[in-house]
Amino acid sequence: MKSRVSMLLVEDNPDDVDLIKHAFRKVQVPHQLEVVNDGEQAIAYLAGQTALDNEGQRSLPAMVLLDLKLPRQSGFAVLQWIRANPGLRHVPVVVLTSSGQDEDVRRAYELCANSYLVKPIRCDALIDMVRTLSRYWADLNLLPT
Amino acid sequence: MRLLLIPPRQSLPDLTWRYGLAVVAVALAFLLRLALEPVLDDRAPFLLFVLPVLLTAAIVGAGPGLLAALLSIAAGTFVAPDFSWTVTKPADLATNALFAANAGAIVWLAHRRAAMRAERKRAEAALRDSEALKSAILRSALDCIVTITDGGRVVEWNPAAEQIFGYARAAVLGQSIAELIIPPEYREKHDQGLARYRATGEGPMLGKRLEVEGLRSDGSRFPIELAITPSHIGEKPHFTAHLRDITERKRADVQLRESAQRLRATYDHAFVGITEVDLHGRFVRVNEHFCTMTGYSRSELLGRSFAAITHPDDRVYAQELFDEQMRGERPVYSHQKRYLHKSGEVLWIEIQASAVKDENGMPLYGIRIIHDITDRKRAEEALQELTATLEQRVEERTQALEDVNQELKAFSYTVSHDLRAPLRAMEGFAAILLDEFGDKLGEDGQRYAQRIVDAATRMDDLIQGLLVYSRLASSDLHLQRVELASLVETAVAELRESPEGAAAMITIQPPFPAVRANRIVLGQIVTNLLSNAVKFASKDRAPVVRVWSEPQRASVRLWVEDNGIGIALEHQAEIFSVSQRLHGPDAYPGTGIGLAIIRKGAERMGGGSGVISELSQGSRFWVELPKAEDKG
Repeated sequence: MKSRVSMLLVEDNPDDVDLIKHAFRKVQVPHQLEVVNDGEQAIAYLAGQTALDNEGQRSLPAMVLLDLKLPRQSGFAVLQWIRANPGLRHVPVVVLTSSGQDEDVRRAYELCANSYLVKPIRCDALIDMVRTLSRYWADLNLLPT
Repeated sequence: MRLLLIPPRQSLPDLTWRYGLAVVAVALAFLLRLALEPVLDDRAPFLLFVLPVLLTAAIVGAGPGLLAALLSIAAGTFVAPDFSWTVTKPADLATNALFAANAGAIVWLAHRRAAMRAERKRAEAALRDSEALKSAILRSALDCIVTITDGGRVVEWNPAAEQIFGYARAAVLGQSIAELIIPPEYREKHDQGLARYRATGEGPMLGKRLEVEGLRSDGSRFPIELAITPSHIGEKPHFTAHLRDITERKRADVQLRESAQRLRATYDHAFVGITEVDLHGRFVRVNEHFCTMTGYSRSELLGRSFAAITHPDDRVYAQELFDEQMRGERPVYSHQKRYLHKSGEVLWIEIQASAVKDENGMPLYGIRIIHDITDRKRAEEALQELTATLEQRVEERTQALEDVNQELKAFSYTVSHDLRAPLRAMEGFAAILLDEFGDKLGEDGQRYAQRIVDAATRMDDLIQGLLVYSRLASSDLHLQRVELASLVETAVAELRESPEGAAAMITIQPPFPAVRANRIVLGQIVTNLLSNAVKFASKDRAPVVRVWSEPQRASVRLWVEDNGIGIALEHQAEIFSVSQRLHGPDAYPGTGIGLAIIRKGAERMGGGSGVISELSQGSRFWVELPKAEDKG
């Protein structure tokens, strides 16, 4: 079984992309961070990942970091699509967004997000968060094959 | 001429006696003639018979006299000349006839005398009756009847006069009337009147109804009505006055006049319109208020029909009612209709209409009382309109509120998503600059980058606070039982981990009862209270914070006391409103929204908040929340 080598960041704001990349660098996350900038791209990318590669393996991401407010397709649409897709159903999806509004939180969990995180303002807090995330979801958490 | 032979009302014994006397008298004369026969022979046969006829006629009346005469004629004829009934000689016949004539004359004289006597008796009786009648009239008259001579002396004074003036008849007869009953100031006039009558035989006051003042024996005065008529008793002129005490009538007059005046005043000054209309509906009388109400003058209204000032739409109906009343079918009615004011404005009135009737029950004229109810009508109409549109307006308002709510949500969403993103970039990249390029920035550069980091952090706090506040204000809070003890402990534990909290001495004094609240909002409130307590610490002493609760009747008050800088009394009311900061961010960090969240949150959960503080002496903040209902 091929290990899940990548993580997918769905984020349209280039600032946030850079900051998260910086945090990943700081934490030295071993996974490759793939970045897409809108919902459609996210769906297209994930759909591609579900296909079997040359070795008959699927290279599913270890985790999806999903912003909610996205162009073309919203984060909720992406989440819904992931959970409706049998091949991706169990991929951990962590919502990472600016808004901590109750409605968004509730809806995200209703659509079976694994976690809901609000992007911290402080850079060090973001680094801490990324460290915790990678440790938990990539290292500790077990997933069905 | 009445025959007196058998006068009526004469009894039989009486008749027997009287006629018997006639027979006896004649018989005695006859016997006496027989006795004198030798002396007289046949001379003067009738002479002796004159006596019985004369005596009978004179003493017992003409009827017996006549009988005596007839008997005497028979007896005389028998006596002369030869005691036989036969009369042959002319001389004897003549003697017979002469006697008969004499006797007849005597009887006739007797009859005349009796008739005259009877006549005189009748006249005397009539006079007596008349006197009796007069004195009865005088006695029983209700009016005073007083007769005086032309010299003013009293000659008649009836019982009514006695009673009314208070003088007995006997005391006033012959007295001067003027001094008895005429007030001094009128006496001269009275005397002049009498003098003029004596001189000219004229009196302008005579035979007229007069109203003057009278004087009673006790000196009191009273109004009298009198009429004086002159009369003559013998040659002397007299005056008879009929007087009447009219005190009562005068009083009644005054009362009537006052009552009429009162009625008039009521009519004129009433604050309702009052009118009288004739059988054709024309105004006969209108009061002042009615004129004011309709804008017309009295002269413009009088003679005009009520229909003329009635609104055209109400005319038919009003006219029908009026006609029914004037036909006697509707004694009283009341209805509402519109008038047209002179200015053309519509006037709503309520009219109470009644009819005054003649003795046969047929209406003579109508009386109307009119209230201006325009204001009331307008208010009713407005109310109806309001009621009709209320539902619609509520819907509109609800919709508007929902729109505002939606907008607010959209705004909050935008704020939390879009406004925070650039902040993160500012903070994040400034932090990266500090972290990775610090040595290249130099000391100043590092400080400036740090300033960017701090400013961004503060702004995020502010945005977060505003979002919390707006959520508190606009959304429904789910209330549940919250154990205050654990909530306080958690909040204090968190506070102790912050640098400010670590330096403070924080005491928790149980017990803390359970309250009914929203767990998240209450957590925020307690956190804000605690962080304020350590944040506004005095510079010259270590912060000491005490937390305890105080049970109220149906609620629990949570107190947080510090020994910080305190709040001046004049600022204590305003610190609970949004964006009210007393201190610059350099002196004491924070957004100034924490207390607003405390107050709004407590209010939304059915509680309250407040502070007791003195400048530089520390503060005691409290929040009060409803007690939780007991479990089970």
